[in-house]
Amino acid sequence: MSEEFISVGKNVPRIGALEKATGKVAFTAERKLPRMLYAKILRSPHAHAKIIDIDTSKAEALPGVNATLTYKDIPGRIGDLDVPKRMFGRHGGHYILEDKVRFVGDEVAAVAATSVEIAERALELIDVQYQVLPAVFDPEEAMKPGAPILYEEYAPNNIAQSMPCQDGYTGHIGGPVVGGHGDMEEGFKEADFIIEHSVNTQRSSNIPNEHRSCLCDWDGDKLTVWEASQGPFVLQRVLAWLLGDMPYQKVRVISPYVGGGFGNRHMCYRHSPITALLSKKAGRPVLLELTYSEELIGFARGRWPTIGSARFGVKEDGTLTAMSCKWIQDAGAYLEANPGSSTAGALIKSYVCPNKEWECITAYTNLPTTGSMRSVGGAQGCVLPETTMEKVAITLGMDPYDLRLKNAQGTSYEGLEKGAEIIGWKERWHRPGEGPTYEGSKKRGLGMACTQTWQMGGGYGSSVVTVTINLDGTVDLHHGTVDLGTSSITSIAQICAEELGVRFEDVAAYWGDTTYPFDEKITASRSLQSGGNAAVRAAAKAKQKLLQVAAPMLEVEPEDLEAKNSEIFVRENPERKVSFADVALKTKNEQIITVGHRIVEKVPIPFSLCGHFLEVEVDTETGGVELLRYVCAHDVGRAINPNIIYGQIQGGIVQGISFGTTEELIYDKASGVPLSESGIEFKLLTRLDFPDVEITLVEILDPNGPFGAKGCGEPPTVCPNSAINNAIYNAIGIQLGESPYTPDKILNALGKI
Amino acid sequence: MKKFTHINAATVEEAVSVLSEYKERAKVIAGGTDLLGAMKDEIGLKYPEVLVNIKTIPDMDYIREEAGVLKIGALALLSDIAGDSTVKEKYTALAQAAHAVGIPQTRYMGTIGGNLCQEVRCLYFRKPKNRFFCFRKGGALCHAVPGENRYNAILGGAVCFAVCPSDTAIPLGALNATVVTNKRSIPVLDFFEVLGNVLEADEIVMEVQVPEPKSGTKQAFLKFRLRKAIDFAISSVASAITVEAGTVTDVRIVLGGVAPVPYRAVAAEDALKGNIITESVAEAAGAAAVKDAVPLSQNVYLVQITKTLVKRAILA
Repeated sequence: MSEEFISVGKNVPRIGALEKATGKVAFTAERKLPRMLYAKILRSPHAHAKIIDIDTSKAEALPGVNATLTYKDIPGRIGDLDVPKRMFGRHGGHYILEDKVRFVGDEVAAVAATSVEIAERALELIDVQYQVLPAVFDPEEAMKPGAPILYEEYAPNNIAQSMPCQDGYTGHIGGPVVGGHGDMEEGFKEADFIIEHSVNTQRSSNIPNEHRSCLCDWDGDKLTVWEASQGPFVLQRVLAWLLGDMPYQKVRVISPYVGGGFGNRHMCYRHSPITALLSKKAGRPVLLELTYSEELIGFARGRWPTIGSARFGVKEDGTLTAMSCKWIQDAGAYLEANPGSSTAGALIKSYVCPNKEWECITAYTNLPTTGSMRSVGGAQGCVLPETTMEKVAITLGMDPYDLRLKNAQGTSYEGLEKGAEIIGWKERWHRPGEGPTYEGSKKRGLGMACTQTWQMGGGYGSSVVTVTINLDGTVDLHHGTVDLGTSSITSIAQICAEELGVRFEDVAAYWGDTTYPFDEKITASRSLQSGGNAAVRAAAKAKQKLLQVAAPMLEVEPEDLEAKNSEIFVRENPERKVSFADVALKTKNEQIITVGHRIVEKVPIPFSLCGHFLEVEVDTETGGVELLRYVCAHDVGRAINPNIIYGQIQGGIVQGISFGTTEELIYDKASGVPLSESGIEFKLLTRLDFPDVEITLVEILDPNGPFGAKGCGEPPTVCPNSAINNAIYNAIGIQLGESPYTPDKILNALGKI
Repeated sequence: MKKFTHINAATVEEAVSVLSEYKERAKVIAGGTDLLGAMKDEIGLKYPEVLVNIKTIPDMDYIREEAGVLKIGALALLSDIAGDSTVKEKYTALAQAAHAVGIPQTRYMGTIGGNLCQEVRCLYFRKPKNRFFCFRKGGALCHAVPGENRYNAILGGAVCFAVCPSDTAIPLGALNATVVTNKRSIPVLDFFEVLGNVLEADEIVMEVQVPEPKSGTKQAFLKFRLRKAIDFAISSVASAITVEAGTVTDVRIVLGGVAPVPYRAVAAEDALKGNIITESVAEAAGAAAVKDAVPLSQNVYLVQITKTLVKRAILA
């Protein structure tokens, strides 16, 4: 498919991979500046409390302590309801530090000292007087009259309300989402069967490999921030505003390498202004590095738990006549992202049905914060409709694959069809619980789930790329994106090389710095599409200019020329050619630097259904689940760099499997104290726990994507939880009502306990 | 991490003398895979002033057979035990258990002495900075009983319901091993107590001795956990069953992960003795193993899993 290309479609090594593998890359916390101090944050021991007073004098008297920070230091309690509109990553909580705490682990105060140990000791010397308030840990309880109120503005029921953003960059956030189309009453009247189903999902956490770190250094009134961010420009503009309407040029954010993020680095969060203010107060650079536990709990922006209930109407032949999905969600103490629309997205997009309704209500509780995690609600939202579809199929006596295909929305079902073929669905699927028993107690089952691939061709944030032709014909590409680990910068450089006709190895990419051209942020699987489109435009312009310079050298018109492999040649007579180097030398008085914009424009998003298929083996005597096979066929548009895409899909699926089988933030129900404190208790899967994912790429080109590419960072994470639920159902004949699908739940379903 | 003094002991005598001097203010360190994590989280009532490093004591990491007894120095690494050909061949359950510990990194650092002496992993006990002043720390109650107890004890729980996390202790119990300290020899099952072990302040584990199993003895070690690496046992079982002329003449079955100490399932052993091993006999023994189980609010599933593991170990 990509044979006609030289750089696009090739597995070029990832830019920066060797440097990372050989330890040459310095992540934020590895940086050292002269006179640098170390910061630590004091966190709330209470789930809900008012801070009556706070005294830092003893901490300040400790030798080695240079600065402390409490809500008293925050001038005029920076922020009001306007803050969330500016993408300060704590909707609901509007202050850098506040005289109220809302979950165990909430930020109370901060210290900067000459060593981490001194800073830790100083925290113990901070005297805080709390007035402990009643707390609530269940979203349904939180919505009842008389429940403890987390925010006066969300009284009396703690329901998060929608807040339109007015910062000129983003849409709206939060709030209940109620939507639909058609006539539900009519839809259910037309139905031969009405199927009801309910299923819940648990609280999870992003926990990227690199713990959150921030290094701040003031030079007069100019601030430099090193932080692994998904959006350096977001961090820049929010920090500039929080710190007193600073000009953007006075806040430089540098984000060269990011050790993963999975959605929890795309805004400005409390720790960044805390570090900046400590640094300002101390007059010295300050480094804050969170611990694993802080990253896991204190900082969590993981999946919000959902309580879902569905009601589907269907005709005897499998035609859907009505789909209703309702969710109650637990925001935790703070919130960011769109918990309603993100969860409801799966219902809206996957199947055709004339009558649909969705309702998503999110309530605040005194538990760790939730927010954006890879597919932002997609992985939770998929579970309810996808497990209900399974129930519908079984009720009708249909193969769930056929039911899905019959009602699928979109222009292509290739992803679905290929996946089913590879796993041998048609030959091997049996009705739930009716398969053979292996080794006396083991039952196998096939399960599937669908999602739409999405791509931000239709919106969300702009990107700018500049292309500089150096005087030796090599090319510099500057882009304000970051290397999140998705290697989109490599793919963007491939796109640039292809469009420009330069060898890939002649392109040097520069990224991760707000002194480079603007990029909104890495989120919503948008970076390749957005940055790639900007790169195409910048490269096309640069090529045009090169051809104009080359034309007189070859005594032809620019239209007669082509560029490939860093050479410009006459189309009709390829022997007549000049090298990029020769052409570039001629530009020494007028160097070629071009700009490419990817402009936010509303274009139709072509739907394409992707299928995930797996086989599980359930041990009915222990409740253990083994994944035997995992097959997925994903539409990625043009595969710019297949190896990078395989990595994204494999990683996304493993994260999704982990969410379906073991991951869970556990807390003490009486006190709200989180109990999964480390990687031992918070069970991310390891390599031994999942099979090789059998990946097939489907390349249905997106007319709005660079060379037809689509984003693929998030969609792979959406399906696994649902597919595992369905596969367990197929194995044992019983549907489980809550993830993760652990042995206790399976044994309980089987009536063994 | 708070500061402490680190003393390299050259001999057992030196280590013991430091321990005698500092008593409960000192702790022994070998691999440190458990201790250092606990210290970073400030678990326990007394943060140690002194760590006595015994890795510097020579010749304490041996694995050898002498006169029908396997002798393992306290400093023998779990990875070495798991890979030792004699252990694999004759003390199979022990090799399997050593291999089932943690991850390769912890097995390359962790020692058998440390594996026996490690602290429990109860979610409440392990919450940093002693957030929960539980019974094990001198408090009045066990927070797991009314709270999160999915990984707590179903057997032998009394005031503290944390479970013994050691994997190697389970086959050592089944193989009737002995722990040798600088003061005495203790049968491994008597080494453990609900709130820890019987070691005195100036006592250290020097060696583990395992008698060679009688010929015709079949061993098994099964460990159930959510993940195939990292996780401690949710439930485990080790068995050593001697069959002569078709019937069981000798049997030891020990359960792990479900009780505060390695739990000898005497009722299961009784159900086997004198019998021919069949599916139904094994099943009955499995049921007998958990007959005294008193599950908490969330861990009744452990009864079913443990029962199954016992049955499978017998049939293995």
